[in-house]
Amino acid sequence: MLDSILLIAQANATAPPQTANWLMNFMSWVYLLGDPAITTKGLLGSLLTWLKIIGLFSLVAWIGARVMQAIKDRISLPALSGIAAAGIVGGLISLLLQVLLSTGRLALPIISGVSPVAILVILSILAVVAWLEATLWISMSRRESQGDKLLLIAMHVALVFGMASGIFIVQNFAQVQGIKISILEGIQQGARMGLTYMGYTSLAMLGYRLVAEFWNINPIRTLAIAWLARKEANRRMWAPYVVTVVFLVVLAFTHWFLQPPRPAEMSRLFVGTLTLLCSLLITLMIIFLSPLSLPTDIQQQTIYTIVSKPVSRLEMIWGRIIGYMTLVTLIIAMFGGISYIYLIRQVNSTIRATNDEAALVRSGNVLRANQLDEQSEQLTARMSARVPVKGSLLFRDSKGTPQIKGIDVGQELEYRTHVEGATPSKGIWRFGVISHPFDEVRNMVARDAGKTATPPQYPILDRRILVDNFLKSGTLEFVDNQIASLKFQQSQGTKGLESRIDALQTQRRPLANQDAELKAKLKAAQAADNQAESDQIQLQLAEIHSDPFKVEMSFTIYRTTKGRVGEPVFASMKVINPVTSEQYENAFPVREYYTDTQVIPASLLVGSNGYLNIEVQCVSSNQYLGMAESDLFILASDGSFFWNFFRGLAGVWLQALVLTSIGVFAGTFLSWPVALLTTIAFFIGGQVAFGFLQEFAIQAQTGGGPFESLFRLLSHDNQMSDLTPTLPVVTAKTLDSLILPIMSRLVYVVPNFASLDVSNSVADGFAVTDEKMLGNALMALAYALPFSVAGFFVLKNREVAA
Amino acid sequence: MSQSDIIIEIKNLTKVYRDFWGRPKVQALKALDLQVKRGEIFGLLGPNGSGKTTTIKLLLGLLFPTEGEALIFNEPTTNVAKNERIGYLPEESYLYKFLNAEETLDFYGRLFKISGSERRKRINKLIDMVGLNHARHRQLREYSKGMQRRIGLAQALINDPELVLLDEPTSGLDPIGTAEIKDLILDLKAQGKTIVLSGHLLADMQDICDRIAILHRGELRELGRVQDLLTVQDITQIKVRDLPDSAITEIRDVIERHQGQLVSVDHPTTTLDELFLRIVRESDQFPGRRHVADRAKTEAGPSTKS
Repeated sequence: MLDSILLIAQANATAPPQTANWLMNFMSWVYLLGDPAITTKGLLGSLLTWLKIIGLFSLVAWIGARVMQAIKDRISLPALSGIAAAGIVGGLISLLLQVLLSTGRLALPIISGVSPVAILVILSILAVVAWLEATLWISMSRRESQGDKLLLIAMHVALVFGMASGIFIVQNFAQVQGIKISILEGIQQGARMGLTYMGYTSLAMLGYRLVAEFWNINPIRTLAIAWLARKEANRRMWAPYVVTVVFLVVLAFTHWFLQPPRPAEMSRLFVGTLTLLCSLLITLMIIFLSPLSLPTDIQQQTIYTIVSKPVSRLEMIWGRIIGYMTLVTLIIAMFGGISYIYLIRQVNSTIRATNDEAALVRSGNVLRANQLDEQSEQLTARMSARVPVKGSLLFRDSKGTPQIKGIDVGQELEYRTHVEGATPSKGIWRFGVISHPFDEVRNMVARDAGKTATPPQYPILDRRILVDNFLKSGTLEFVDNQIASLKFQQSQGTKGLESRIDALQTQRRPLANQDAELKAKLKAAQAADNQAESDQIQLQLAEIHSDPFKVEMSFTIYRTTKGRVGEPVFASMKVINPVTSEQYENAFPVREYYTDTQVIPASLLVGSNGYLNIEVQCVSSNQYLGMAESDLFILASDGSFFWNFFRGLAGVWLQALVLTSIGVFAGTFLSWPVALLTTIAFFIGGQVAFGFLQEFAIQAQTGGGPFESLFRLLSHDNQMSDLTPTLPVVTAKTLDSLILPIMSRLVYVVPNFASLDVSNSVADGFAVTDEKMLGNALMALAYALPFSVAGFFVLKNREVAA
Repeated sequence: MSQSDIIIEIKNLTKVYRDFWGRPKVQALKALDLQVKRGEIFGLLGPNGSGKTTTIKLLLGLLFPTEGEALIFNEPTTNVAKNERIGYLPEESYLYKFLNAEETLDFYGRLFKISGSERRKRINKLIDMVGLNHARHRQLREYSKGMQRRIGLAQALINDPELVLLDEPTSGLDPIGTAEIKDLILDLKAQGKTIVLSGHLLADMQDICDRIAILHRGELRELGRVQDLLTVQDITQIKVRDLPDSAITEIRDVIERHQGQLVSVDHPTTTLDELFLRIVRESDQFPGRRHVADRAKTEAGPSTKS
């Protein structure tokens, strides 16, 4: 309901009796900042979400720590304990009642429009809150920390602000929409926002304390701790030596067990395997190093000689992280270097052997020679760092009707859909600032039927081609594109561009004359069969023209007939500049399992403003061409494989950074076996089970929560069947409803390790872009920093000699 | 006495160890009040479990007090910066066994931000001082307990501290090592440093402490200057060399005339520590000779009691 807060502001601007615009704008921001589930696009949105989550966790940690301390200090009064117990019991009863109501085992009357269960829930929450308030205030009054007292007061101010804002926003929304909304909804929204603002307050205090710590951090001391961590890893754990030996042993026998399914896939297989090996060994090393260090230090009491020196707890944590990451960096550099040399030697020798074999068989077996040429090309293509420009795919079926998907040929594991050969069926990739395929298909159908298009319902996609990157400066196409762009701006109403257009026209004239002259000469040279001169002229022509751009594709074929052996299935491609209507068309044999490349004249991009349509059809009858959106792209550039390979390894480094922070954090308060298991659990959760955890977070699994699932397991009920609301079922559901909301929030602390792994892109020969690297680095920091800071607070408040 | 002359001030310091559920398990320290002054050697005495080590751990911030407070250099114990001026030798030598002596001192030196050249100078001096020159490149895991104690002491002094906290410094040392450590402590005092040491070896404490506090079951039982505490005010001891028996009889008569009660008349004895040291020193001086016991006997003279 409240997701459309910006619409409130819009609506309010036109509706006469409501609040002033400035206030509504202010409240929009208050809502954006205060609602835990609302965010915005881009970096600001990510930062906001991060702050909200960290703030709420710091709030829970602060209150939890104070309450635990108060309980240990026996601060709570007996009457207060009674209230808390009543609140907890009331909460449990309300959960049970809710489950009984939902399963139809119980029916309760509604009192004045409010459910008795809701009243019980509110009373229980009030009782627990009263106990919390009393405990915190009594605890604070006995302690001398002025900072904590101030924070407690500030939190209450934040809560009141959030509550008032939430109620105001809901009431205003109801007024603007002309609907009636219960005050309970306002209070609920206010509580959500109040908690978020309390989280910010807690985070601000945490930041204030951290600033003082940052100020005292000394690089010499931090690096001394890092040095110690490295020495410990080397001399006590022998970790770097063990992983190096394992790596070299595995590498020595790699070519024995790595057999690519197709020769051209060799580089992909080797890159993937070597990156996986690096990742696996480094992860194992970190898992066994980082969670063991601090607990061992505490257990063996060596920490006494550190804590009694002027070393801050943050230096102890960051020093360790830096120490382990230095090791990781060295190992990655070494493994990467060895792997790279190994790869280049293996792949290059295979390419050479393939070329030699092709040359040998060319005279006797052209088909085989072509196959070998293709293999060699594919191997070379994979050892690069391609930067793709991806379009948005939609289809037209054999009757020409627009479709979101192509034909499903019944292959369940195949994510591609198909276009039918020798029919109007085609896949259309659109580039530019374009509507979502759902909107586009709907509008295409409408247009085909002679109806008008409707406004978009889905987000607009930005799939523009950055034309300037494809056109060489000073060439005919470049100047033409500049002129076209200015003319487009002129047509949009921009004034004062005439002089610039004239200047460009002046610049164009000699280029055009030279082009015409060279083309005439080329024609003459070709007519005279003068190859040398014709090559020379072509070189001169290339000087004044931009290079053609490449479109790469990898399609699959679904055959309804075997066809003739060696005869390929053909596809046709039409590239259309939708602004100038210039077209380029070509047919080509489809290489199964391999990448097809089509070279398109750069003139197609002139005046396109970044828009282009590429249509692909299957030419061969009775055959089907399988395609998905990422199967076709425009190749923006071809970078260095060397740097891309190390960027892939940087993903492993980032994974190690997050894991190290988690391991060190776990070691601040757990014994080493438990810390070790915790770190392993985090890694498995983030690497293997992240998808499951995401589903868990939104409680989207079938079969209920852990208790209901356990019941189904024991009673041999499948996940889909309805359970009879017997006592065990009701109990299981009640327990699930108690722990699921807590667990579903906790899963957010598990980092998505898999998303940091970019080795697949590297193995497929795609560039790991700067944006991707930056995004991953920020994500890794977003986890590493809070974990290390949490570790600092735990260690600071822990008696290391207890 | 000015405030700057008080190095450690302990007020009502109480420590209760609790179990997981927060229930009191042991009261290790009960309302301790103490002051340690600049330049003195202060001894914390008491049997095992009396609260000596707990007091030192509380002073260093390794433990948090249940009640009361402790100030070092007028700063709370939680202030990490105060540790710049403190040297600490733990009860056991809790050092990193995978480092050698030089690396150990270098590492701890870096924690005090001591410059590289100064560090090297201090490392050489301290290794020399604790007599570990021959083993400076050996990892500590190969060290004997005594050697570990010595390197532990060296690390406590790497920052040239104003206050040295030594938890049972002579534990695990042979008598020679003990004597050397005692000499070293006296030397540190001569340099103007304040030393707090804990232990239960009374003779060691008696020799070097200016003031002592005796703890028992977490409570302060006695506090004062060693001399004052050990002097038996109602007993007079007269030591005379080469006095004939007739003179002794006359002295007895004089004591009886003045209604004094003679407790004993004897010849002072040396301590076992002193005897052992003299034997070792003489045997170093005159290798191969076995007349030490006789000479000691001669020097000590006959003993009489009444």
